[in-house]
Amino acid sequence: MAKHCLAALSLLLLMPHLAAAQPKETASYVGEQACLQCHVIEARHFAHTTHAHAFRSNPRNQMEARVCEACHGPGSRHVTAPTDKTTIIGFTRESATPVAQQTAQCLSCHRGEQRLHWTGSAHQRQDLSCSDCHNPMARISAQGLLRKAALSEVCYGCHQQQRAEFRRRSHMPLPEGKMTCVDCHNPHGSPVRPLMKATSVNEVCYACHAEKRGPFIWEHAPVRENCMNCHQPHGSNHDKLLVSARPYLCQQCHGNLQHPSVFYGGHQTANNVFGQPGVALNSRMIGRSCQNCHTQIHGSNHPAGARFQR
Amino acid sequence: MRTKIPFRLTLIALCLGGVLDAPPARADSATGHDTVAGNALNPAGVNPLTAGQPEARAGLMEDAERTPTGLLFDLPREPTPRIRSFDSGWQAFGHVEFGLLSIDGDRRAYGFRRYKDLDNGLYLTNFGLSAVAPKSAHFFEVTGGALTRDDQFVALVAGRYNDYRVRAFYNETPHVFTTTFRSIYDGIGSGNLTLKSGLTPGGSGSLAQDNLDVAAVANANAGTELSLKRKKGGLSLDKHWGEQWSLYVYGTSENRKGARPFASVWLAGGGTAPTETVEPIDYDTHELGARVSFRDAGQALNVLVSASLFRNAIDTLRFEVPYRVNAAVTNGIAPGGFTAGRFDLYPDNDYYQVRADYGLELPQLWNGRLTAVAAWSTSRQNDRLIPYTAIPGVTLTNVVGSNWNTTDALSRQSADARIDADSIDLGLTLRPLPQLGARLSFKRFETRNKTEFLACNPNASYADADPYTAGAQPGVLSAYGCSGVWGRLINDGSGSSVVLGNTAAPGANALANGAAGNQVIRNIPFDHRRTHYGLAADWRLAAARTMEFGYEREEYRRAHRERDRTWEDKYRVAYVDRGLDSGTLRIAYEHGDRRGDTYVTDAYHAFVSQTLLPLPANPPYNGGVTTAPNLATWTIHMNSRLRKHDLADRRQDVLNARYTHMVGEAMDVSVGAQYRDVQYPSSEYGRTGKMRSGSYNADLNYQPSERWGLFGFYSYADGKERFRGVPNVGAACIVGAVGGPPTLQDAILGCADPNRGYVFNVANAYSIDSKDRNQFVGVGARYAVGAVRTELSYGHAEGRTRIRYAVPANLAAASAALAGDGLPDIKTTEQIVEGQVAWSVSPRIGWRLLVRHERGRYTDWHYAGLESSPVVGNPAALPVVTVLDAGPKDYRATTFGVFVLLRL
Repeated sequence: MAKHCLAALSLLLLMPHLAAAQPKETASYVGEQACLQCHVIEARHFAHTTHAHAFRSNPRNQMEARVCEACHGPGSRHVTAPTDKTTIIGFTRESATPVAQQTAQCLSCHRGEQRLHWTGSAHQRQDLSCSDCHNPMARISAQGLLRKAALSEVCYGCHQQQRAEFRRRSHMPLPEGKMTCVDCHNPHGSPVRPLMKATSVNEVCYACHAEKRGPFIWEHAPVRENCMNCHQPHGSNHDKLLVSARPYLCQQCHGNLQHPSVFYGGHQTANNVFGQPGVALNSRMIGRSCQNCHTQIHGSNHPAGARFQR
Repeated sequence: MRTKIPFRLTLIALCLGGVLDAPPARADSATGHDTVAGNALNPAGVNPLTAGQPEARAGLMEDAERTPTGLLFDLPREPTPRIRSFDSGWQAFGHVEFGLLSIDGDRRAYGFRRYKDLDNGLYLTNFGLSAVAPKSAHFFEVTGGALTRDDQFVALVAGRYNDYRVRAFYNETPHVFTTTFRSIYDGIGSGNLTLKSGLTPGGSGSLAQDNLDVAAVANANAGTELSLKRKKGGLSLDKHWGEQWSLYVYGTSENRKGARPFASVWLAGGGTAPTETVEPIDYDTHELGARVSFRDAGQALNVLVSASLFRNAIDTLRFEVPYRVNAAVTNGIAPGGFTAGRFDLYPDNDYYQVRADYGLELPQLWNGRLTAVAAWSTSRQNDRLIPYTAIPGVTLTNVVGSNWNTTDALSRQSADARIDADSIDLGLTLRPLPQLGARLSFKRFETRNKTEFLACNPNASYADADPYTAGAQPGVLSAYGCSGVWGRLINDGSGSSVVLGNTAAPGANALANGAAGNQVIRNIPFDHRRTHYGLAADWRLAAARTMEFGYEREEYRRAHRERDRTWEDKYRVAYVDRGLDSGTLRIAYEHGDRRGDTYVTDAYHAFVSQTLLPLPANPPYNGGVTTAPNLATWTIHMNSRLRKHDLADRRQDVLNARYTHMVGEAMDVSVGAQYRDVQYPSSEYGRTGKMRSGSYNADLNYQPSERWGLFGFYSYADGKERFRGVPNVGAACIVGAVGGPPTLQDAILGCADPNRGYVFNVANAYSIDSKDRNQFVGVGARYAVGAVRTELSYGHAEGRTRIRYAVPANLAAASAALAGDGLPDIKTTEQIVEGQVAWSVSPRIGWRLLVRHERGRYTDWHYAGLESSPVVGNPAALPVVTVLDAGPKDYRATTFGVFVLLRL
């Protein structure tokens, strides 16, 4: 055991050290005006950001009053060696500042509130920096100082699959500008996977579909437990964001006697002609399928509604 | 010098504040919704600073910079050239863009209108006014667009930087369900659907004529749009006290009004004459909440109190039926007597939540951080219940009493339904070494359903309540504190699922007239508890290179489901490499293995009539029975080898990979893939086999300069799943019958088992294979010459679901031949090409021309054949189904817009 411990310790010592790109302690603050000597263009964009307004007009502390150096750290070494990436805290790929330090710099003011669960969150574990989504140097987006004009476009940068899902036949109205990913997800961290904005998936859904919250006297078990049992959250090839075509979706769970377990096929759709050999028109293969009868599928409050028909 | 407010005092004060009637809100990323104020022509919202402005150089460096992952930052737009200063110290800028819209083509089509409102006429594209007072730190901004249209929006934000912020918004969202509805009803959108002229409630007496009349009236009213509109407004306040305390108070109010396709059915069993109806929507939802937050260097706390109140202005839906439906099992109603039915629509409900999130830095514990969440919520509704039927006079054989059209027939007068939920989350992250991190987590979420409804008519009795004793035994059946007649009159009295007992003369089969074992007598208060344990470690191989290993166990305990307990073990390994010269790689693999305890197909014994009456075996009862009873409703809940997929054993492998590649100074290329393989190893029926899905994506972004740029992306996704089923052959589970179970034990164990062949027979098993394939491609470019900026983009999305099957062996030959081996593909193709030219005539005035062509094509066998008539089936009988919605139709529409932009 001791040998193993020793080996592990040796391994640790051999590991490459984290790049400590933070400005040396000898650096000192030079003031915003010194920055503006060179960064005229940046300043023109930055002037319209929330940070600029807040830091310049009503700083909460001495650090904020330093404006540029509030985030980028003391700039004296950067002034003397402007091309040396290690002389200042940067938030871009080109900078030498470790992501953890970049994030810590932002969280020094933005800790808590909706970022309380950042540490250990999926995005933090993926080594994302705040500036992977935000650009505090310019007002590109209407809100939130994002790196793109639209919040959803920021997410699609990594979550390309979801961009395509929102273009399916039935979809949430993101392309139409009526929702964003952040209506359901908290990208800054949540204890509920996948970064859900509530304590369960259903609670997220009920925020817009409050009528389905019930409770009802007649409940449908998979509905109550998780809306995703039947629905895709982003988009679907099928009506109502359903995960697959009815009646087969329903039959995946309902193999009861009689009509739930019956085979349904092409001889039962409405484009067959009644009376022709083999034709067996069936309501489960037409229109709303099972919901032609089981209309109140999310739950019923009618005393007769155990089968969700009233 | 700021005065520090004691934590406890502030907490109490703010919690009290939270329960007051708070002003209404726009959300942040943790609380609330409504995170964008925009519409289809303003999908990103409105940014008054850059409206109509071209891209600009971002900074000192000529090339665009990149995010830490390696993606190019979008170039910012040039700030507005007109920023006005006033003597008061305020600086302001603003704009308004308006013009004319013209739509050529199918502008009323579902595909075009779904969530937007574009139509001919004057159009206020967007506007914005922004002002700031640098000396006082006050600010104000209002933005909006599409005023008077169904997708209009307005947002206002004002406050003082680092002090407080008030936000208000108003947003409308149209949601079109169909534009091809063929209405046979008057009163759409109300709680009373009456048949249009030419149709007779309860039918004319001639089924053939009724079918013709319904088709004629429906076709005469084709093209009806069913839609709703969400109108939502809100107000919120963010207030900060120093650096430690903040308050977020919000309130929203939403009204949804409109109508959507609905349906109805009559009689019992498989249902009779299903007919599409229209559900009225008139919902109000009010949300209120307050969150107080504290944070310092060592800890953070959020306490949220929120309420959501849902109100449905239309409690019930009465609908007239155009067909003559005659009762099954029930008595007392003459032919034509079932003229209308009634739904109980979604009840009002209240939801309250209290939630506290806490984070504590533990530097002395391996640089640890502890997070804890405790939340409690309750959902309640106490809607007045309506009677089983509104039609008087319905009676049942063997039942004394005809009170079914009154609430006397109910065991309770209001629902008094309630589900409470609580959750606890604990997380501990540790970093004992700079290279090593660890994370421990524990979560528990539990619901407690306190709803109880007994399908017991306490004011009725049986003429013979004892089916096991010869002769009439007047009385009631007693259980769960109720004595009366058990079961439900269904579908407005046209059918029943009531425990009727023995109505036959002594010596006959005591249960032949209806005492089935599967009649629902109680609600099922489903509950579940989810417990999660997690352990993960990450190892930093280099400054920007990390490996992560994780293990999670998720356990479910469910009440009243086929499995009491399931558990899933998940193993995860992930690798992140941001240290590559050329880009960033993120790759993760997760394996999950779910198992559970014994799967009991009939988990609902306590909620159906078999709990009231003993199994009608032969023996033990001796009511003069001479023939063995059919035990099907007592022994078969469903095919006993089917496993519901949310409870079934499952093995799951998921691979996620993303790579961002930096090409030169001005281009990035990203590729991503997700592959998922799911297996249900213990499921012989239901979802079986391998369920696979994959998604493969590529993005390209090229930004050589502020003058021009290109983008493109392509996504391909496919998936397949298999479902296997088996139909029953007859519905008799009779001990001793030919081909039936030889003993009672065989009946109990075997009638639901396809391998026994008594009722289900494995030889007749069939399978359904469903394959999805989706593609989405988009390309776009921008180019600016002087004051003229052009943009062109194209998007093509297509989806296809192909269903193939193997028919059961016992399907009639002619039907099998007609069914073939599958269904026509469900296909959707949508294309949008958009071009625009913007020209700044002067700093104050700009023009914009917009051309947007959309095309949608839809094929769905659910709606095939419904074009000519909504009435499907034998022309001389009750229809198989009446589907008034003709489904989505192909469309083409071109939007032309000419807009002028004025900077204020």
